[in-house]
Amino acid sequence: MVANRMIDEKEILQLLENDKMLDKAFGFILDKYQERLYWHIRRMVGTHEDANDVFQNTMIKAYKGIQRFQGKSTLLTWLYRIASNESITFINKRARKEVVSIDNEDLGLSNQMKAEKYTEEGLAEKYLQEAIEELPEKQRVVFIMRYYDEMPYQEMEKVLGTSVGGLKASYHHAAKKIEAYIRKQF
Amino acid sequence: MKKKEVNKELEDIAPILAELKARSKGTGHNVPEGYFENFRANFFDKVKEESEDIPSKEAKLIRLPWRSLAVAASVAVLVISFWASNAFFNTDAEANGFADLSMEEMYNYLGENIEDFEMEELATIVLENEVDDFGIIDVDEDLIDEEYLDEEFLDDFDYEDLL
Repeated sequence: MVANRMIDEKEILQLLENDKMLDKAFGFILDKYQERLYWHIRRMVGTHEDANDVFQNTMIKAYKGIQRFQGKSTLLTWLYRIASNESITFINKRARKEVVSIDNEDLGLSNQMKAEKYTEEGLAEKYLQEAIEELPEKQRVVFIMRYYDEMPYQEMEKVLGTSVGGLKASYHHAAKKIEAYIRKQF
Repeated sequence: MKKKEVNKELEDIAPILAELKARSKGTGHNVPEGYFENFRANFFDKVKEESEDIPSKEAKLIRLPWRSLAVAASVAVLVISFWASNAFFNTDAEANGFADLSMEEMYNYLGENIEDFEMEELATIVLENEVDDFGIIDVDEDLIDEEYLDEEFLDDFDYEDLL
């Protein structure tokens, strides 16, 4: 059925030219990208509760700004940019809170993860998450985009405004650090 | 193809991680059942709710008082010149204590106390309704969001920081 096909970006942008179609167009954006963006944020911030907040802020900001989107990049790149920035802002705020409330065990991804039970395979995933959490924020973004989202460097360059060479170097360093962390655990 | 490239690259850099990625069945995380459907269904209500929370009065903007700053700078130059000439030529200067002041000290004093010279001027520029009861200037939220439209907005991801 034509009605059920996934609408493409060009069609969404055409809809956005008509103010009255804003909600409809944004509905298509949600249909198309919400899961991808949510998981990107979730991998950055860790827990569902935090990811839900950041995801909500991201989509609201996107909704408010979408009519001024000029199409200089793809819609997805633009949305990734907002999601990445919102996630980093959140991580930084959380880090500051952790410094202030160092005794609060509810804060921090790895602390929250301790409460969960893991299978053997899940344990490896847990170590991976812990290692990701240890990365500097920018390396973390690059690693997540490459490892999980399998984003080409050229696209990442548009999202992060960093040269392909810089991104490759960053990914290389991040992967090496994570590998070393996982080796140490087993 | 894309997946192959990513995996091959990872195998070369971090073989254990590559193996973990290959064996991984998913994200390792869960979301509550129906989360995405609910998010989609409730999103527009949430946006509407947010819009209603915002006071209906027109958002106020900060207008940098460039004109007043220019006037302030001009006044400062005039005051310094007047002060300096007085200190130099006026025989009463020593009695007033100005003679001991260097130009640098005078500049510093004016820099530190510029608001004393410009209170009236600034008061006419920063209109009363631009500042709330707590002295906080209200900024149009849409302008803040403008940053996302800037292609270079994540420029702080520079090469050195990423290493």
